[in-house]
Amino acid sequence: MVESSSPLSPEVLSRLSGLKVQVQRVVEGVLAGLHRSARHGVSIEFAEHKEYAPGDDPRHLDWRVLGRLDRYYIKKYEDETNLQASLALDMSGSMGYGSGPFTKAEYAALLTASLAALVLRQGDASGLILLGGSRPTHLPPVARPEHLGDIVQAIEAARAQGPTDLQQAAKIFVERSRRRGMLVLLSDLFDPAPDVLASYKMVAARGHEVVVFHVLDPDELDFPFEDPSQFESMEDERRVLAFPREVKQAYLKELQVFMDQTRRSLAEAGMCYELVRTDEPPHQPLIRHLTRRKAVRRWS
Amino acid sequence: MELTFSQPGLLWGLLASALPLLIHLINRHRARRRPFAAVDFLLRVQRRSARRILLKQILLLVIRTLLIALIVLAAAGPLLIPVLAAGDRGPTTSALVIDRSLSMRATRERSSTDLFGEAVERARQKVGALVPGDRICLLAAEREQEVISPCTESQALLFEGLDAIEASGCGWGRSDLVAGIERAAALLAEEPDRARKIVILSDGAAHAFGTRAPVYPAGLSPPEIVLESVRAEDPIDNHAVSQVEVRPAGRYVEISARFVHFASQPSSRDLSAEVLLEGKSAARGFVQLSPGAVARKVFTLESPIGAEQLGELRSETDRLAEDDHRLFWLAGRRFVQALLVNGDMRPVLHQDELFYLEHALAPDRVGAAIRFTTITPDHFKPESLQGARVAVMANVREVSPQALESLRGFVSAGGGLLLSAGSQVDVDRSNRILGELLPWQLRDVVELGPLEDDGSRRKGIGFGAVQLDHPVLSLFSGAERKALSTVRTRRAVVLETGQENDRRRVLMRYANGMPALVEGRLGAGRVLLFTSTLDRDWTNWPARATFLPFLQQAVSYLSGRLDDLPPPEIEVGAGVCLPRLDEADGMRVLSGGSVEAELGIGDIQAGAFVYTGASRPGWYAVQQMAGGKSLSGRTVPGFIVHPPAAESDLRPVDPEALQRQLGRSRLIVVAGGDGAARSLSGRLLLLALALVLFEAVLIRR
Repeated sequence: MVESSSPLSPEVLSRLSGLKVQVQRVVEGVLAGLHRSARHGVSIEFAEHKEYAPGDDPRHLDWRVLGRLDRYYIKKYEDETNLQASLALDMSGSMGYGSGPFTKAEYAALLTASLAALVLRQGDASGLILLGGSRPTHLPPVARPEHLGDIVQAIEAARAQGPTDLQQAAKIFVERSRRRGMLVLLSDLFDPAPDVLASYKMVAARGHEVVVFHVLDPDELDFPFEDPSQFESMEDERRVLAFPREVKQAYLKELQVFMDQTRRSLAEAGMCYELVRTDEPPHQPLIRHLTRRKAVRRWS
Repeated sequence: MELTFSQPGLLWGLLASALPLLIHLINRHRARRRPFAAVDFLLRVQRRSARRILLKQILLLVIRTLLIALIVLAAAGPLLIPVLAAGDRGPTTSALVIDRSLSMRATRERSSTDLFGEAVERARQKVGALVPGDRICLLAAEREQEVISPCTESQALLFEGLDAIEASGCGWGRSDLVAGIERAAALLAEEPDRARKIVILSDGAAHAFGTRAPVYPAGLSPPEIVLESVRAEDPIDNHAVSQVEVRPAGRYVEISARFVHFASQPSSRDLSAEVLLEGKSAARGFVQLSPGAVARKVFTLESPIGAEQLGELRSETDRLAEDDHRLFWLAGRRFVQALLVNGDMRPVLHQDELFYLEHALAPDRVGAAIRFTTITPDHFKPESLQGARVAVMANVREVSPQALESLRGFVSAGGGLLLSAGSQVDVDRSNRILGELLPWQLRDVVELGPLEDDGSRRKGIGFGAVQLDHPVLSLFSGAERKALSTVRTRRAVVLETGQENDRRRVLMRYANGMPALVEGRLGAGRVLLFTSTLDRDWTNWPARATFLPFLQQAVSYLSGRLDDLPPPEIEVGAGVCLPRLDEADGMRVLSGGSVEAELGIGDIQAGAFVYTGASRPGWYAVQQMAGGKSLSGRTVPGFIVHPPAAESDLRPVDPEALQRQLGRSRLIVVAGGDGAARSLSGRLLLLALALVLFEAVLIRR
């Protein structure tokens, strides 16, 4: 959590017009955060050389080759060379809930776009799978920087509505991927289907990297309600009358069990899990994930 | 037992116990619609804990409803009252006998109310719980039984009677509960045939029942008797000042107080006591008390000079404060002024006529009760008698006619005169000049007793008959009588004695029957004539130990000081005989400055006024009246009324002994607080507190 006066706080970001601007701010925040980190750098394993072209990061110039051959080559790293990231954004009705400046959908959209920008920025391919509504929207991974505009446009056009069907994303990813890739899911995981993560385990079993950003609102995590309320589902007609003070403990316990099971289940399948609160600055979960990912790579 | 409420109006507050249910229903109705993403979890919680939540809600509702109901009930003052009549016995008539004797003034343990107040309160509770069809009559029992209310079903009348008895307060007399039972039985006998019961609300002290069995009206089967003790469970250890005696001892006075301790346990510390004179502390001391024992404490004070006064002996108070102090009468030390006329003054002291007399009247000259002036007959003037109460003419031959005239007037007005014989006395002259001052005329001077062996003088004779009931000679009524036997009189004046009457009589004779001491009356005064000398010329009495008290007593008697009777002391309710002046036709009894009673001719018995109306302890002053005007004269100034001594013994009656005494009447003893209404407020509040705790625990779960 950061103070609301922070330039990356949800309150401040929400006042910026346009997802693209917000994404730019978040990406800057992520990069600044990574620079401050002791283990900065996106990738650590050298894979091959590539002839320099305008747009490439001059930091990656191989000065030794330049001195020996007098030609400009860029060092390519393992991750960067092979990464095809598909970002699956849950835009079901439940994602429309928000107690702060952002709904979960808006917050997840910002994270998705920021991730896409980061991926495209390092020359990798980034695609988008939008879940929700009547049928999912799929933008295949493309490694062109201008592809970010397509992604942002698709996200901005989407509205949180309809039931949740998270398996769709796994299915689309598996059907469309021709090589090892990365599937990033941003969702509240409130899918009524039993064992919703089974299909993602299959994805991971096929050698793909799966990352789950579990996006939850503070209200869902803390259940701060007092008055007797008629709680209504945001995806269907289900409703329940409850006295919050009487059900709070049981609800929190139930939620905790769900989160623990999810985290354990994902970890067992080799997937990454990142809990995201919509009241924290959006760059923080990204930094947390990237830092952890590098650490995992180093030790694996 | 029956449940009643001291504030029944507050029971309307029970409606408030519906509030929790109302609030619950309103909350349900006003439940806010709230879109929520994680409804799944709530549904799961609902499914899993629906029964538990419902049970909890119901429990909370019940607890909150009960909580309000309990608080309202506690505020309404619920009381469990023993019901007078058993429900299955049909209509019952009960006589409530309220003990209002002095012992009921004892305060209850840890309470400011006295036992009498508690008895009235319990009677009020019983009347409040009166079952329709049952009847109650009310009596107040003291030394006399007072019907407060005849048997009635009307609670209003009974409450009115109880208000009246409460307003009149507890009495000061001793109780006679057997008489109370008899009076109650007489009331019940007038009732139609139904179950009868006598309920005695008393301290349950044994003294109240005496020893006799009650006598019931003919045809009345012995009623059931319930003795309900209004004291708490604890025994009441009571001490009392039971007696105060005042004994003059020269210039001092001894005040002897007797304390009684009616207790089962020894007192942990000594009892402090104090003598108060004119409201001021005159002496203090401590007394060690043992259970059931009597203790004495003697306070010695310098006898106050002046008029008599009321004193008070006060001990530290206990729960029955009324018997912890006692009034007493203290006669002040008053000086008697005497004029001594010395008819045979001598230059040698021990040969002087008044040598022995002067030493006898003022033995140590310090604190002496008699003060005197000595003159010779030549110096006896009418003004010599000014201020004197007694004149002594010792061996006087002659005085001036003016002096004699003043002496006659002095005696007639109430003065006292002591005449003695001697060598200077001329029989004829004395008869002539003293005249009516002499009880009997003088006849001659005679020698008494046989001659000594050498013939030089007479052996003399002793005293014969002595009027020991006379105030002057009563001090020789004991062992001291023998001391008179050593007196020998060799010479004396023979009197022309005649018939004795209340104006003149012989008080003491010699062994040969001759008068030795005679008394005469002149007007309001008294004359004592001793037929021998006050020195050792004719008798050896002045050299004997009995001479001193005799003269002291004789001068005191002549001054009238012995006539000052101490005021009578009685107990509350007892009769008192008050001496009456001859001319009095009435008496006024005053208490605390106001007239308590007017006694008339009808109240005279055996020459004294009889008063029986003293209803409370204290000092009662009296005024003799004649024709509506108050008289002055020698009589008692009043009388002291003490609390009844028996009332100090608060030890409870033995139920078995009382049952034997009551005969066929079935006795039920309700001890201690069993008969009292039990307040349930405290218990209800405790229950409410437990519910609050339970609710708190339930909410947290």
